[in-house]
Amino acid sequence: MNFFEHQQESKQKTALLAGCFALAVAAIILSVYAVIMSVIFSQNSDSGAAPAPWFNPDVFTGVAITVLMIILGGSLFKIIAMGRGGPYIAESLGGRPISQATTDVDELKFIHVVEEMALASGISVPAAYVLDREPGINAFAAGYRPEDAVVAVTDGCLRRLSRDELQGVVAHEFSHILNGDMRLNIRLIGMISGILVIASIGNILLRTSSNSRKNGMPFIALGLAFIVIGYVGVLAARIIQSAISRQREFLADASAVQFTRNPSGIAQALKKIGGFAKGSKIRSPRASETSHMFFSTAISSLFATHPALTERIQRIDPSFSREFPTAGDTLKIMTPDPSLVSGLAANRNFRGFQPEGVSQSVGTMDGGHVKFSLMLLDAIPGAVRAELNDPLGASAVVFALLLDTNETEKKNQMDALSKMMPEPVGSLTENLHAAVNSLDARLKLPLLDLSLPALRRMSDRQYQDFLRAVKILAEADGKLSLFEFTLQIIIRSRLEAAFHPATARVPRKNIDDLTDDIIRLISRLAMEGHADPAAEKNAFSAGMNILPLPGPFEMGNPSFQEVETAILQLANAAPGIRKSVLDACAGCILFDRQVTAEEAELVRAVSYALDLPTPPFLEGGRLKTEG
Amino acid sequence: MTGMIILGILIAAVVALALMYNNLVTLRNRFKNAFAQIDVQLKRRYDLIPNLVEVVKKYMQHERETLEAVIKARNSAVSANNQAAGNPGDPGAMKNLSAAEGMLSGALGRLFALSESYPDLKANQNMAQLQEELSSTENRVAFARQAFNDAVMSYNIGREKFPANLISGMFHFTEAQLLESTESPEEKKAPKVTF
Repeated sequence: MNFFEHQQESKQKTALLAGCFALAVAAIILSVYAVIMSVIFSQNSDSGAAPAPWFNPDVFTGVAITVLMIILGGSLFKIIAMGRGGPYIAESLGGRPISQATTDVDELKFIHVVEEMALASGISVPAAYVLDREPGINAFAAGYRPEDAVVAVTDGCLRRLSRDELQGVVAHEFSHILNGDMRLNIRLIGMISGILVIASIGNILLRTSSNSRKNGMPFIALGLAFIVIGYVGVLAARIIQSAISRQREFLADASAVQFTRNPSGIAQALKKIGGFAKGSKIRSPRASETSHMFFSTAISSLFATHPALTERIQRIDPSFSREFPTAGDTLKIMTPDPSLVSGLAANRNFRGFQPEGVSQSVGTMDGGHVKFSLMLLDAIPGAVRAELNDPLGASAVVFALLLDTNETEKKNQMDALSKMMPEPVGSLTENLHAAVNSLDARLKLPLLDLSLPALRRMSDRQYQDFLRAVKILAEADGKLSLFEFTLQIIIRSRLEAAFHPATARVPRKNIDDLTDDIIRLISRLAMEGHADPAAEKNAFSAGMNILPLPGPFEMGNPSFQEVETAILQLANAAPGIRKSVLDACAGCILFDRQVTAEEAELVRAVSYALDLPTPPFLEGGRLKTEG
Repeated sequence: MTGMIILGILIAAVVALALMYNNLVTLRNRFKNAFAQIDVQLKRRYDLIPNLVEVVKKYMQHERETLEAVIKARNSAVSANNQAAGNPGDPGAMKNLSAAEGMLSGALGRLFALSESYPDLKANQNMAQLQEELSSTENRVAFARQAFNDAVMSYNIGREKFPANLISGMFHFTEAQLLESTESPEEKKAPKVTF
């Protein structure tokens, strides 16, 4: 299965959930109605009036509306609260954000693992959190979209796992991010807390009515009934939740092996949990509602959110004897199968690169990508790397990426920049420009990604200033390349989520409505890098022909502003449409099969802008590190 | 029917209360986390100062008092910062930190002014590098301080705004203190020495 199929499956699971949820709500309405009617009957029989009919439409509508309001209100409240993004969830569980600037060796190791996995998968580097007060070995990923995702590990996980094991755990969490499980999780939590409100109301009724003597009995009965209905409903919801959650855990384990090409890492981590007295327990009282987001069972409950450890380990390592090593034991390290570890193809050209393969690689990564991202990280000069630790330095790196190579253009840009930002930013940017400019083309997107964690720590006001400066730099010269223009869009789309948490977007499902936007984007791409009009036309039709749209199409000459609107529209389209659009872009850019590293990175930049995580292209051989 | 209306109002009130409370907690977390950034940069600065003193000592033997003042100011700034990091936003801790940082900046300023009259020291590579690193750290502190103050401001506005102000007292969301500029008034007045 590929990224789009996983996303599709996640959607289907959500639809299934919604179905079960509707059934549960209907059952709850009926039960509440039955309870209220029996209360009315008992009242009437006391007073000796004639018995009312069993079905009373007024009471039924009243009950239906109230129950619906309560459950949907409760669910929405929770979903909105959770939708505020990963940091909110991590902090509510007692998480502490850690940054590159940390001096703790274990924390640094964790940050590096997160960075490697992010670069290898093509999603923006998520914020890293540590749950300090949790000695158990566990971890989770949270967020509404990949851009506001966080990866958090417990203190026990940080201190007790080796680098390989930690990498397995983080890879498992990345699978949740890539496969759309986080959103599924948030909806599950919302649904359960909605039903839980019914039980809470029962509690309130019970308490308030037991205080007042007069006419108390029916309310006590009602309260008890509400509690029973609420908890039975929650029970039913938990069963659905655990069934779905367990399947996603197996998928994430399998993906972790695929991502790291090292089955022993995650297997050893699971074995350590099994052999550790504290296991994977989470002490925070808020863990119960988020239990299925964790790497391993966070709280013991009747309905397991995770498959049994032994079963998970045996799926990865069939030779597992069901005996866990105790904490003191030295662990036997499984050596990774050499055939699984593929070397980087050295010195190959981009000629072998197939445009048709681009969309296939979205949302995947393997050991090769992780190794490659290690190479990328190594190739970034220390001086540049050091600047990525704090917001001021990171913004200077981004500005340096946007500077023109032409001296006069650059001077215009620098003048504009020095008017916008406080003084040291200008000189920092100037100093960094030479280093950034001489980097291999394939390092520019990773560099942008690495700057995001620091940039997210700006205040709202600083972020607004930063955005304005980015825009002005991009517009200071009219000849800005499409790549730099796309960088600008990526910066905004990836940072926006941190400052203005997820607003629900309704995906555009109909590709016909987006035809004009697609034509604008492909036209612009065709104009890039093809000197004569005939070649431009050919590239344009090469791209458009890939799309499931009836032609013929007229190539346009859109402005950057129009292309920007087009990209933003397309980023909001259903995954299937974005896949076709990405294929068309790749077909257009790579039309002449003379693929340069710059062109390949332009394809990747477009896929970033379309909100599709595309791993780095491994073809193309050694990285150019200097000059 | 009236029972249901009352129930509806009750639920709405509870939801509104929970939303306000959560919002205040989020704002408070945000500014507390923002202080961590200042802390990182300040610690870097405190680590650089002993190195600076080491280099300078060889050239400026007659300026013992100035050097001692720098060390003293650094040490009191370290303890003020530890206190502030434990409880960011606390008025006393923030004011102490501002004052201690002001003292340190003043002492460093005097040291750099004096160092201008030692040509050998000025030519020293280490000295130039340390001076550059210190001023770059200074800029980062300023940027991080701005972010912190912005976060404190939005927290303070959040807790004073109606209707959140009704609950901010009840749940002990006390007013947080901005971190003032660490430039001492003395330093602002000090003429720049140019050659």
